[in-house]
Amino acid sequence: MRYLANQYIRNKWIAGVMMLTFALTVAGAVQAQEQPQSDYEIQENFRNQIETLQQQVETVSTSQEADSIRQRIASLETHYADHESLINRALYPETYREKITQLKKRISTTHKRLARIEQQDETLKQLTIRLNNYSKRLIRLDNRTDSLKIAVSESKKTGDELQQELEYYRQQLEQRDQLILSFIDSVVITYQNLGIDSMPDIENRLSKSRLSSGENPLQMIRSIPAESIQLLDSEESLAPEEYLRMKTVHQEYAAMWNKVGHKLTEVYSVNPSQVESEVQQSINRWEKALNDKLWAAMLASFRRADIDIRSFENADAFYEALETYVEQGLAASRKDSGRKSYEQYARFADFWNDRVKGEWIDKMIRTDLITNARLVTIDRKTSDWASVAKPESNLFAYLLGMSVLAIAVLGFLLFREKSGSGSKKKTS
Amino acid sequence: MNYSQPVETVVTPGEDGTIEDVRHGLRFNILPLQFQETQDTSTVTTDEVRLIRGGSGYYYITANGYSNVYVMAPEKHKLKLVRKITISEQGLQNPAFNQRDPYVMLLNRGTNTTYRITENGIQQE
Repeated sequence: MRYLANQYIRNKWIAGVMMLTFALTVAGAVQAQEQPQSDYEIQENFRNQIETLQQQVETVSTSQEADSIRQRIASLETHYADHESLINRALYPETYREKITQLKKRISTTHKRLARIEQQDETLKQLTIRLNNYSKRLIRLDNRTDSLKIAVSESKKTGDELQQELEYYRQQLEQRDQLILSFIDSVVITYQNLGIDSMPDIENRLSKSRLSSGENPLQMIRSIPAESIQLLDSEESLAPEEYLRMKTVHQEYAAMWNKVGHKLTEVYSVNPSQVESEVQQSINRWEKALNDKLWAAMLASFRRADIDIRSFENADAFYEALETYVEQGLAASRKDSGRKSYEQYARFADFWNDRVKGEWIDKMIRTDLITNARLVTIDRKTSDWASVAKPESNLFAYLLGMSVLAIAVLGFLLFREKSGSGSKKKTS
Repeated sequence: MNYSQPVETVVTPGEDGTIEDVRHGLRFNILPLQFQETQDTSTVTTDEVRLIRGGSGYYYITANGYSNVYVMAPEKHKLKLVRKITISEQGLQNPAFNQRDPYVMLLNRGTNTTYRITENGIQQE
């Protein structure tokens, strides 16, 4: 019983102390509120806090921090709202409202910029992951292609099986080109959308990744021309269609580099101008290697089709060779539209329609190797050649001859009959 | 004409006792007033001088540790002492002036006391 009583007293005492403490605290706060503040200190504190916030706005580096500063500005505004008149007099000609508004505007702009950069950072990270995946896939494809090439060259398999392997090999090459095109699209879309004014910030944030080749998309981009040249050098006998497909890839790559190459080197390279120059030279060498192979393959195709066209090594020479061939054929057919000239025309027309127009022309136009106007000219001249080359029909001559023969025979028979009946009359 | 200064000026004296309020175009030496307080002008012992101009044009000057507020009238090339108002024999603790035209409020923050001061005298709030 006594214990319980003591407990009760003790609890009451603790409660009383707590109440007293609270009351004193409140009273102190009220008293503090009631005691007039120094006007000087109020405006000095305001100035100091404004200055501190201005410095924080200058150096803020994340959108989260910017949010926090925004809240502090709002808090400052609330806290000093009652002293606006005093602060206006102290800051004259500036005003309290101007200072707060200016600060709010700056933090708002900064916040938007930081949020955009963080978004772009995230996009860049995702792109880097995707590019690394592309890189791995490309390496796997290249390895598979190399293995296939070796297998094909050393193959002791039968004709059909060999054909299948060759076909598979060509499919791998095509996949490689498709992969590069997809990669180029990704690069262009991502980097083109990065605003120019954000590049210095991104550059600062990514300065470490310049030296980290494992995560550096520029490394992969730089490797594409070199690997493509290597592929071309090692490959002797691809069809023109394949070289034309590679031309498309080259064209897209060059366009991509033109659009975003400068930005990429600024972000990812310690020596941007040197890297930019190197890549441009690689692009030029790639183009030359590709052109050399392409024109040689096309010429070989013409020759295999028994079309003895003049050799060519560029787009203009290609067109001139075609035009000359057709004009010469046309002239020859006009002179002598015999079987030989007709066969020459037929060979050319078949090749032109089935191979050139059927398989090459779309990519040739897309990669500016021939224009529509030139295509139309060759078509027109080929048609002219067709109308001249077609041999004349001998049927009329045959019919005429047979008619003359028939008339001669009939005439002879008639004469004989008349002669025979005349003799019979004389003897009777 | 209202000469009232919206916020007090707080200035640390120079080594020679010079007080300069650039914003309000005022420059004087604190040593005479320091002498009034300490009878010593061999060195500048006044830490921060606080001054404010009232609506009538009089300057009110004091400092931490001073017992008095000095009411000064501006004259040609000088400030003339008009009134010496004793506030605290122990010395003001962390004083501050607030402009409350037509009077000036003096805060003695060490003792939580406030006064109304004019060129004519003082009244505790």
